[in-house]
Amino acid sequence: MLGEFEYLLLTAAARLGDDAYGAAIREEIEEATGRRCSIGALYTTLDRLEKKGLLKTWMGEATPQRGGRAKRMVSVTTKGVQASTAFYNAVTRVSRGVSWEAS
Amino acid sequence: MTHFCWWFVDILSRMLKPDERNAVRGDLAESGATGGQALRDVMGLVVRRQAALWKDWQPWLALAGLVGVAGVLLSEIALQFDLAIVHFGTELSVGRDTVYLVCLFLALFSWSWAGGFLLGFFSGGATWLTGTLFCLVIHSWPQMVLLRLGRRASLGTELWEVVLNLLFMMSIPTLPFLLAAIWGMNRGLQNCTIPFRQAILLAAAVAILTFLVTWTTGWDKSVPHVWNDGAWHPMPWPGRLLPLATVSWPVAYMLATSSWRRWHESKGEER
Repeated sequence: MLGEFEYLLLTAAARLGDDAYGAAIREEIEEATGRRCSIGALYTTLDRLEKKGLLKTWMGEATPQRGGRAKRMVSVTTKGVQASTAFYNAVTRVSRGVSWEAS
Repeated sequence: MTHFCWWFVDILSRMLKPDERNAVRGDLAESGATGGQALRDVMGLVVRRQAALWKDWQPWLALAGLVGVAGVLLSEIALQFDLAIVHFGTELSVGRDTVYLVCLFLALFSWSWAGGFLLGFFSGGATWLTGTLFCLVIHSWPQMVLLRLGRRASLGTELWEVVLNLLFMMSIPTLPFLLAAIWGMNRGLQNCTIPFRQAILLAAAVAILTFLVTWTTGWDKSVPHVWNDGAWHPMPWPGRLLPLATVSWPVAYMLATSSWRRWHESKGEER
């Protein structure tokens, strides 16, 4: 079972598709949660998920707005999609009949 | 302040792997982070990476077995060398004094190199910490002991004179051992393995030097015996050999792993 932050990261990477890389994923998570996402948490979680085979990363191209530095590109694997689906289904199931907005 | 933060970010990010450093610095530039934010982010990542290294057993072995055991014993032996070379006055004949010091110097140099090599090999990315501790123990510990002895022995002189004398004059004799340890660490960090023949040669050299140092320290230790008209008994050779053999464990480990690797390779060729 995925952790909450792992799920957030995989979902952000899946949403960004071919444009998924460190800074973009971070921005996506910060926008969605309204909370700051540290680079330390992001990169250590990327490593952990890659070791589990849930995503793969590679060094992309360098751009001028990055000071000529390369991006760490991210792609969610089939196993990652399955794990995220399982997490989403579990959250949906457990939330059935509970209306948080009402409380 | 911002300039200082970015300078510090630059220093800290060198502790990351080149690809990760590149990606992180690029992310920071793209997001327009301030110096303070960048520093907090990079520091957080470096701390997490360093903490992850300590989940393995190797840095702990380096810390306990090399800094704790070998380092402390090396510092004790280096202290003997320090005292002997500064005074050159063990009251032995010049010939014996010279043989004693040369053997001790070569042995300390070999032990420091081997200790440094294994420390770099085991510690990996944590070498900056274990290596600094190792160097502090083998180089500065003798100076601290001498500083205390010097203060006790020279109550009439100014403290700064004692400090200068001990820190600068007496640290010079142990400097080669510090350099040998740093040299060994660099080799160990490159993850290079010692070929079997070199491991045999190193082990043989260290065994001979250990024997010679055990023997020649007997001359040194017999001086108080003579001074005290036989009332003071020198330490028997097993007692002198034990710390020297303990400090040689990195060499024994290098020989064992090298032999194991050779045996495995020959077994693979047979198949």
